[in-house]
Amino acid sequence: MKGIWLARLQNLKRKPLVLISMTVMTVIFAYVLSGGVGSSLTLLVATDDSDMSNRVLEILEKEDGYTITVLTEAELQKVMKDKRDKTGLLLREKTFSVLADTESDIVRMLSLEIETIYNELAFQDQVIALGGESKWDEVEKGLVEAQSFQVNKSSMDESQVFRYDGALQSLFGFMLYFVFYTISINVQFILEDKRSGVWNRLKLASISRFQLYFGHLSFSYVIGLIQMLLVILVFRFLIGTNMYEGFWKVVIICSFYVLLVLAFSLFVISLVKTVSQSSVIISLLAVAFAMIGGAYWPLEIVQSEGLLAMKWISPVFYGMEALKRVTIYGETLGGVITYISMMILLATLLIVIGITLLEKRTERYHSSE
Amino acid sequence: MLQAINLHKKYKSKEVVRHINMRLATGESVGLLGPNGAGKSTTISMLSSLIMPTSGEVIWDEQSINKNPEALRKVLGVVPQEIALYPELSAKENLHFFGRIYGLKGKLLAKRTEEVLQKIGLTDRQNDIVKTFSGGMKRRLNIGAALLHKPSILIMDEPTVGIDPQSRAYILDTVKQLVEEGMTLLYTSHYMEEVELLCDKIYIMDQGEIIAYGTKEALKSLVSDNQTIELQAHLLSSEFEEVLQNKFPTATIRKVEQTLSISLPKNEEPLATIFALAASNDITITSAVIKIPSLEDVFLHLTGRALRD
Repeated sequence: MKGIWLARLQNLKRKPLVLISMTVMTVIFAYVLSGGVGSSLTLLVATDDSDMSNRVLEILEKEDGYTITVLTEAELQKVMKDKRDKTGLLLREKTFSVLADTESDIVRMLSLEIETIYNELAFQDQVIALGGESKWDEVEKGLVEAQSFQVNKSSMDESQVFRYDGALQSLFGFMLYFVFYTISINVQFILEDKRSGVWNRLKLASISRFQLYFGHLSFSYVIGLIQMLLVILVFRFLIGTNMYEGFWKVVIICSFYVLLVLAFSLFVISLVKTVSQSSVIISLLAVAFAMIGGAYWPLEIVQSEGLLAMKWISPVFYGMEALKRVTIYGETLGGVITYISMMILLATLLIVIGITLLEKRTERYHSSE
Repeated sequence: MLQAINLHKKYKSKEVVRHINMRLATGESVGLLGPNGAGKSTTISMLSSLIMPTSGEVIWDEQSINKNPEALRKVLGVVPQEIALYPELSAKENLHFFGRIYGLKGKLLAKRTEEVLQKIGLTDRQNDIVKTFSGGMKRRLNIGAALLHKPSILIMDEPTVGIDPQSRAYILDTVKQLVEEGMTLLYTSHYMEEVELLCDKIYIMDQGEIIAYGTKEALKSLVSDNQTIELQAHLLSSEFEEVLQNKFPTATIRKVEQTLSISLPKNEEPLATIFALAASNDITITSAVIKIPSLEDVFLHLTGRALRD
């Protein structure tokens, strides 16, 4: 196994481009598409001065991620007419309008968030109207208790309130997406060694099959994890991304995600004959999995039931959800145990199937002389 | 002695090789000749313990390698048909890697690497990356990687496929030298001239079976015990034909234009006599070719097909 690691390290020394480019691309894409970490959405807000609109504004001002400028309705209308790149928000007693030139993800998510605030405040008002402030305190306390109970019992329930952090969405999304390539390219060495005859040479030198697979897979695992750690460290300590005190939880979840992607890559190479076939399949699947797994956009804004149903087959989904929950939603590792368990279960299953198929294929190499 | 006893290999319902019985005595050089797809690689994969036979046994040192392949693997070097090297590493790095895998370390590893590089003629290029090598150089390094642990048996699977004549000659010289140094060799090829040059005994395979076995001479005698001499000469006459027939009464002589074809038993050595008779009859022989059966003819005789079909 040590020998395999040495050969792979020498190879990495000669061809470090994959690891470097995937890491750099993750950082660049995540940074650029999040609009620069630390920056927030500049929002021009006007209210009708009603109690409800002022309370909504108050909540928004307390939220991270928004730089709010309060204008009158007339001023807002004028600015929005002149400067089409701005995002405006008109808050009224019972309704609101998001003013933007294009129907972007940001607009959709902003709408979702404002709607949630309106609903929560309306519910609060109704409770107070029926039972007074003391009743609301009671209900609020009950809700908090019910929520903690719900989190423990059904952590994959997505009925919780939608929260969005653009910086983390981009960071996690691109990190999970690009590491797919790094790991699969590394796992492809198994296929390459089998095709080139190096694998047989090693077997003849009495290296066991376990040592061969373990050597290759452990190296690929470490490389994948290093890439993710580099990205996380850059964002956390150089760029200063807020990880909601979930840094170590992020690292732990990444370690399970790398395992799942490793297993998936192994499964893919067990189905194909050549490295180029594997590369094509991985490229297609990585993009597809990123899309249906919520790497490019939050799944909360996806309308298609079909697309949402497919998320369960995407490794990205498990990683993305678990990462968002331990950061944005502030959950514990216990709260995302279902996602972690799924990643371990799928990884185990895919590794067993992958190795079995690869061994059968090795027999076929000999028969196709 | 390495011995294969009634080896069979099946993949699903397809029987790839059957009834393989072979013996490889110490110091012997044995050829395994057959067209592509004959089952040579499967046979040597079983002989080298890479795959298990469906039935039958491979015996090394009086022990079945099905149960204990380690004993054989320690003394076995295998040169696969593929270039089983890391293209991104240098020649030296590749040899170091495979040497380490075989348990060589430190000074011993450095010494063996140096010796092997010298043997395969790549000392000058030891620090160059393998992917920049020519096909012939890669093939040489492929052989070198199998020699690092000083094996006493070498199994070579088509080691000269797809290379230029110069590199081929170099490889054949190297292998010949190894045989002369006492290496036990099993050489697989569909190039009959290579097998003929290197091997004492030859097994001929076709469609998964060994169809003939023996020394070169024994195999060739399967085709014919005769030799044919083709003479080209100026002013060939029927009188000269008669003179030759009287001198060699058992010969069959045919004349086609200016070529005289004389077929007679192999044990006779008639060339000097023929030249003397020609001189005394004022005939100038411009060329004389002695045609004896080749392994190609043997294969054709046994299967009705040419070896490289």
